[in-house]
Amino acid sequence: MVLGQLTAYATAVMGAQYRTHMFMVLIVKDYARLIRWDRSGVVVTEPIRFNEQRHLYDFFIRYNTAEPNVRGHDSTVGEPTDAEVKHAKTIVPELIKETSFVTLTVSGRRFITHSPSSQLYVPVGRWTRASFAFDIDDECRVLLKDSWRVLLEDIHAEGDIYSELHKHGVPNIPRCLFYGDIGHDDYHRSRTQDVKEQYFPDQHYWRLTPHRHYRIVLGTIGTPLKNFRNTKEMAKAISAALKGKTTIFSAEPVLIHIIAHEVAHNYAGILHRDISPGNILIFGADESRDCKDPHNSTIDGGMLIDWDLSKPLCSGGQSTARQHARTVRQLREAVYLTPDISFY
Amino acid sequence: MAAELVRSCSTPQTCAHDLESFFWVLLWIVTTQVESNMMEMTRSSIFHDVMNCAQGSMVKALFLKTADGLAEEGFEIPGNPNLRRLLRELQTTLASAYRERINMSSSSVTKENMESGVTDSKSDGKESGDRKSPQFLSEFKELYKKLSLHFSEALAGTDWPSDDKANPQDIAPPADATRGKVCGSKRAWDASLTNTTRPSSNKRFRY
Repeated sequence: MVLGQLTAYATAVMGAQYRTHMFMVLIVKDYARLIRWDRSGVVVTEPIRFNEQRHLYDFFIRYNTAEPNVRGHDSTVGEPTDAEVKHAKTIVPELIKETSFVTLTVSGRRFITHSPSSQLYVPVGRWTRASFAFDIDDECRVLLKDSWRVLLEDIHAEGDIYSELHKHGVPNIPRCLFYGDIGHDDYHRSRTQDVKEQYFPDQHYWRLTPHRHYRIVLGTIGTPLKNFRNTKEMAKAISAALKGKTTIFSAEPVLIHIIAHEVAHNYAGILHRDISPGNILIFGADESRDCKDPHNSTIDGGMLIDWDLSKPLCSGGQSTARQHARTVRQLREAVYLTPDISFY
Repeated sequence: MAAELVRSCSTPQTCAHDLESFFWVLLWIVTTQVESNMMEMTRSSIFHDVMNCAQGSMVKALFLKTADGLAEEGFEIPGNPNLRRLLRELQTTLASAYRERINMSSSSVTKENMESGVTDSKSDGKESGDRKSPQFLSEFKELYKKLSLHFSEALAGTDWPSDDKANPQDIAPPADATRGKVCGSKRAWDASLTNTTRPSSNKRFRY
């Protein structure tokens, strides 16, 4: 009961703000517990008898003097000027109705988007927030994806996958403009898994996934598949996504070459693994009219997005990472059943 | 998600499964957004049972194999023969590919899969790769060629309607929900869906 309440509060706070982590103090009668949430889990202290022990006071004294980023503020989020917001609204129609705005930094560039709104899930996980944004330098409309990517050896960052796909001339995918890990490693990386390793190294069934704060900016914006204007357009978008997806395998010999952890890996191809109605976008004449990017000529009717669950294939044609596939599948089931929501 | 992966979670995911997903996407869209002579109960069963990816469920595989509701002569999308034909052709092709894979795995690969489940995934991949690589690629290409041919033939058809935009269809609640408790009207079901699982703020950006 209490656990559910605490989770709901943490979700509300972590969802409605750009935060790297947060602290809570739970006080029950004569004892207290300190709680720290981040994207990989939660750490709860032993009960602190605050009438006898001084840990709680120590915590408050330290918290009081701590820098904002130690408290969990995201240092890469800022406030735009009124003039910037006004300009953004003229270029990005999706921002017109919004009332509160933030700037997010990716690769040294600033983007304006609206403040996040709270979502209903749990505070841990990848927490992907995709929103229409305004690129202040280039004065154009882009899609900005803020997420906590999974830090595991065989999962590659979405931006690396896109750049590899672009290099091989894979058609029918959006153009990836900027991407990268953001913020300082100390705060923009989940820490719960480190605590687990340090204090409970033998609890093998607690599998905490480390996460790293990540942003990616896409320059091509399509229409969701379920908003098709006619069925031919819809069938064409699916066909286009199919074509783009399979180009990686059809041209021989294509070796996907990804540099991760300073080691280059060669793979026979890439599995997308999350082909769902939400991940195929319509991109026809209406969409390309708004944007004169030459990349548009490589998109014929539709595109396949969200490559962040994708896995490279080893030469045997099987996915290299089987052990994580199961959780992904459970999540994806929910996406299919309730098509309008994203669980990441 | 491919039927084979739903059926058994020990099946390694391959690119053939990615291909099959495109069919399920199309079926999902046709079920939920396209007017056809499908009964509300059929829609509901496709939406809730066939698309349900509970591990170990055979429903998806059965649907694929037996072509229930689609290959039957009764299924029509008024004014849109191309789309109906496309769905049925994709299903037929994928069903036979599915049968081939199952036959193959029950005869030879099953043992290997079980072993690879406990060995290191990378060494396992390399090992089987040396033996199976050309076969996997040629099978995949053959399947892709068939599927893309179905798409291009259907898209080349001249009699596509031009004004049939997305039209959300009524979907009955799952059978066990009505059985357990009086669920009320469809509107009540929709409302409960909206309240519990669809935060409106998120709905706008499904990218």
